[in-house]
Amino acid sequence: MEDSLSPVALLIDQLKNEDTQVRLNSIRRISTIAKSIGPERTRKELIHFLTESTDDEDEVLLALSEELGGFIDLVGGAEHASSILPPLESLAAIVEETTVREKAVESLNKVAEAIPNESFKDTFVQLVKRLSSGDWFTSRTSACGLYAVAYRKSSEDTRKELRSSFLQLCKDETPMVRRSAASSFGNVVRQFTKEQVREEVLPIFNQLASDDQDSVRLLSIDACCAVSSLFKNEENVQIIIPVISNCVSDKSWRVRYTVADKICELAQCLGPELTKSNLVSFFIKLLKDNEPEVRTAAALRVQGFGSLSSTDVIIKQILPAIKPLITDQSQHVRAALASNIMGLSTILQREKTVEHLVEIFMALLKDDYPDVRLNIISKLDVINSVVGIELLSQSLLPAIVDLAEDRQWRVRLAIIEFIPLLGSQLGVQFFDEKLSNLCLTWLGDSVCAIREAATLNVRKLAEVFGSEWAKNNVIPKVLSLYTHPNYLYRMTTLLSISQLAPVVGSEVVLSVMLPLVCKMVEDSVPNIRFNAAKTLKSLIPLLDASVVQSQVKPVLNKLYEDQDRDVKHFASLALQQI
Amino acid sequence: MKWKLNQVFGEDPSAVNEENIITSVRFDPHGDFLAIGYQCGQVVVFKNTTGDTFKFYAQFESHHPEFDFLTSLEIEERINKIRWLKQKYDGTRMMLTSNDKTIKLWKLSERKKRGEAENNGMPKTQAKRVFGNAHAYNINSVSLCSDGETFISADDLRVNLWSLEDNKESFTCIDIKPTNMSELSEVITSATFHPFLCNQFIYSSSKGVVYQADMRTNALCESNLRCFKESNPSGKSFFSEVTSSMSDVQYSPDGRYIMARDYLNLKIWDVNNDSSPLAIYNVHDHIKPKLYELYENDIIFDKFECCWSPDSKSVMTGTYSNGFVIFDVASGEPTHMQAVNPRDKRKRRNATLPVTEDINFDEKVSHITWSSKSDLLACAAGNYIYLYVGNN
Repeated sequence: MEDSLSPVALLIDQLKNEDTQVRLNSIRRISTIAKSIGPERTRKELIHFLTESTDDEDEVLLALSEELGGFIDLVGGAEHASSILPPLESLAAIVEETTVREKAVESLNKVAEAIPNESFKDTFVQLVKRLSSGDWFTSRTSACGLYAVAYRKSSEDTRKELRSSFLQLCKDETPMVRRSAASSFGNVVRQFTKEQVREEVLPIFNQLASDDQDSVRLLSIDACCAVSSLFKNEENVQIIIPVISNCVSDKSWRVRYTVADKICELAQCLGPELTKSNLVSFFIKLLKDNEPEVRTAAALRVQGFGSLSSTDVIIKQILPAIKPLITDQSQHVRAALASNIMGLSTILQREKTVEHLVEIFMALLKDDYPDVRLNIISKLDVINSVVGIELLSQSLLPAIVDLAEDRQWRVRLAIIEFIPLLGSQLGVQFFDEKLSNLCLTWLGDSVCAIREAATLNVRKLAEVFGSEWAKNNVIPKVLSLYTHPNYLYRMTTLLSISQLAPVVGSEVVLSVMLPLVCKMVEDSVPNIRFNAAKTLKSLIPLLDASVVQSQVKPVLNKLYEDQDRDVKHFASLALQQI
Repeated sequence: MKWKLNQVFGEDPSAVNEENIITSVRFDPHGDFLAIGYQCGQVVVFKNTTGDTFKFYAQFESHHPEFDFLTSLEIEERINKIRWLKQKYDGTRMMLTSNDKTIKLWKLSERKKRGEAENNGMPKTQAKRVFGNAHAYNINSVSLCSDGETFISADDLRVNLWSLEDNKESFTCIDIKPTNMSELSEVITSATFHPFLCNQFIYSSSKGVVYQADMRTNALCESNLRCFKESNPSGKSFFSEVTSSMSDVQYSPDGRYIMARDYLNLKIWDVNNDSSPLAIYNVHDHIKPKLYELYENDIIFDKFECCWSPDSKSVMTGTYSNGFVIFDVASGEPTHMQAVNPRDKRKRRNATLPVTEDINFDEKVSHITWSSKSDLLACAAGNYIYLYVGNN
């Protein structure tokens, strides 16, 4: 019975709406509609309608592609899964927006998994064939992403056709299609037998690896892993190593960069023997590349690659190649090295770390560029577990002080965040002597973000060193700021109190902090007064009820009578807390 | 090849209209469409229907005038460059259009969109992406890469590399801004990608040099440039510095030659020999006697485009008095043409060779395009576009 209020009719109506948001919302609800009308009507009416609706704004089509992927149960389960294919095929074939096509391909693969094997060939495989021979590059590009699943679920006869047509796509005249084929190459080829790869695939693989378009060549590196998994070491020397070797010496730095980026994956696929005999020398070559981007990518892989090599190789071959990078011209290379090299210490263990690595850390700690120093300091806990931090403390301190006083506030902010960690590792005594002054200076920094981070820092230190320490060393100085002529610094006192109160113990709160806050409610600047109200509100849970009634409440009541509206407002909020 | 005027599009010659001055023309790579950009920011597209006849297909407003608050300057909506994407699918075409500061990716589609009323058979136009905020100076060129994924845009001092998929980021691969601006002596005037190599592009400068960048060597390309120049320039005059500034540079479709247009000449280099041009063709030597006058009234700074025929055997460029010249590359023989509007009732000389006294400097062919179908070219002068068909 076709009711004018039927869900499908309503959907049809909404999808004619001019407002994209309305259409988008209704597409997002199609699963609800499907549930309400049941599987048969979903297949016959809803899916049918959606197949005709594949011309819309990209946002709407993206949502549609996604929703359809979840329709398997809604159309009545696996045996009917193929009914979802038509709208998805349309979306994959002609929408030029890449994100929509990719989502459609993703959903198509989901549906394909569910289709029973008996009907797979006539439904999904036919779809793949149609897309592969489509006139528009969009359909051929989408087709590439479907071969992995199609191949897996097909019988040997069909597989033969699929192999042939996939390899055809790898030779397509349009770079977009070749790129898509190269990206899917690994997943598809992984399923072939060794003989099939040797005879049919290797020539194509070599073609992709020497394609005119840089963007295609660099995608073949990923495929190396899949292809190599089928062969033994001796064979890979003939097959894969030459390909990687060409890529390492490729004229285009983007290809070389990709090798550096994927060197760890390659090492894992090829195994320790080939890594040692071939990949190490490639890695070293990349560390010495003349394009800084490539050196940066290689520097970021030092730890990962090192963990796949022997200690011997690291010391004899990799470290000598790294040393020049310490003084590399590009600060990005040095920063990348600094962020990664600390990890080698866990591989080399204590003795060798002291012997070989510590000097590198020291040198990087003195670098001009703040990011380099920050990257070293951020990984200090790694060092600490291996050699202990005392070794570095001599060089650490000047480096920290330098960073703490850097002109760029973001650099100062970054170093503040490491202070609690440093404190816990250096110990109270060292900290007090050298670093506590710094922490207090930050409380008076000209940049607000720094002052805020500094108060948070002080609290964390109180957590690390204990409330006694906080009471004796920090509180007096923090609180003395309340006499500063500039109200912004007086605010710091209030903020610190809010932060510190939970960790210093009720005695301190009662004896020192509360009186101070009560004094500050008389400040001439309204901002101070209402922040005092806010601080009181945060203190209330920490105080005895009697104290709250006798000391806090009167003060708040007085603030409530204040002339300034904001002060009144925050006072009332605090009073509500009581 | 004999060229015959086939169609003229534009307005009534008696109505001079600033807004409708044509500022950019381009055939699409398949020769099916012709796009025309205007001073007022509009783009009109004609479609090749039967034979070599074009009919109106679509019109849309590509750019609006804007105001840059930081510099207190108006940003004009004038369309500087149009470049069609090679990809086509299912009744859909895409193009890049650019004004001084912003590049837009437009989609023209014949499929009706849901929720829209029937468009009277006109295709739907939609701005898919806006590539903005990347140029401190005025954009002079846009060029698509053969990889189908990226393009470059150039202004006076920088060349930016974009991905068609991402309008949030662009990478400055050439930056010739000196640390001290008072040392500035050379600016970029035009840039273009190689027709089929994905990693090479060239750009021309105000000093009369063409630089070739290889994107494979380094991420920042200015360290590794080849220079195409003239080793022994002859006939240097007082104005040489100004007239040698290049206004346009193009690779030949077969990728073997580079052509550049400066104020007086077309220069052609073999890509393998950067020391000296293969040929220099004089476009309008007859204006040389007037150079002083032209310098005084700034006409000497006029910019002209140049283009190749699809078989790489001929080149074309515009000149004054609504003229344009086609040179045979091998022999250097010129064919002088003049774009005359049949509706223009003013008296015209019949001679094809231009004469100094008769030059009309207010009328020039500054924008030209040659279709991939060899026998079709278009040139724009003022408010009009002239389509020529050739036959042997």
